[in-house]
Amino acid sequence: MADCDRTIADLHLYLADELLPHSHNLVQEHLRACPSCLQAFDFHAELRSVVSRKAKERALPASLQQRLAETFSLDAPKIFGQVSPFDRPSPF
Amino acid sequence: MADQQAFIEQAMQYAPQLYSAAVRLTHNQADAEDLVQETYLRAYRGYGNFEEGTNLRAWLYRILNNTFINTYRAKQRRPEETELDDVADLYLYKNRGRFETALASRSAEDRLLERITDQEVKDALATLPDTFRLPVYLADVEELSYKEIAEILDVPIGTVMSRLHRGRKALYKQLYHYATDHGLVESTDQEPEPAHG
Repeated sequence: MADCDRTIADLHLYLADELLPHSHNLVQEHLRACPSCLQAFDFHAELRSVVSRKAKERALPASLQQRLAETFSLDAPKIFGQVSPFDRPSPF
Repeated sequence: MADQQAFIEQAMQYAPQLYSAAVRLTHNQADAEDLVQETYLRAYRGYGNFEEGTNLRAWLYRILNNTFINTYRAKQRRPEETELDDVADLYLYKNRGRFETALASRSAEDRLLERITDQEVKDALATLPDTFRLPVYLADVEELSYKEIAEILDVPIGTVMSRLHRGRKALYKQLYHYATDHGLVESTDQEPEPAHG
């Protein structure tokens, strides 16, 4: 079985699903037997999800939608959705 | 040029993602809007260079990044910083022992991470030098594959991995400092603050 150092070294690759199947399985096998590594993986899985959720801008500003629509003669509601830019809540 | 028009309309599905990355790169909405607009103009003009069947999203991010480097970074007159202080692996996790004085259970630990605000995560990302910020953003916020990120940055995958390794450590250290400032984590070098309310 992989040791703790080896497993922790693969932590981010594992969480990003970048390990090859064999290495992925070795990590899983180790985590089933090692509560201390499992705790570190749990913590980082949660940390990643917090970072991901909190650093994303969700709405395309109406001003940018309008500029893109004008520049490229786009049908804005068709391309960007049906919500009128004037009804769109401010992202702030 | 009906094809070119269809192409740009297809490319628009990625506008929210490109805009989000652009805000992280430029740090403000006005520059981010200009950067996205310029990215689409270049994509439109360079439409002939796009190979059908290849990754459109990566191609657009790549134009965005190149445009940022050539235009906005030059405008900001910021030197390209490539260095980060060396930070221990699993910095935040290893220091979480400090959380546990106040928070005994796993669910409490989750709440602690939840109390880091959106703005703090954005600010922490903003402290990363450009070289590290975009790969960390693409990997951990947009959850792109390392291969796709290598394509976007036009660097070998090993370079992506090393930038992610160092960038994440710096990011987590910064988040730890915010947690300390909040009193969410007891700082090592000062007395614990009295509990409020």
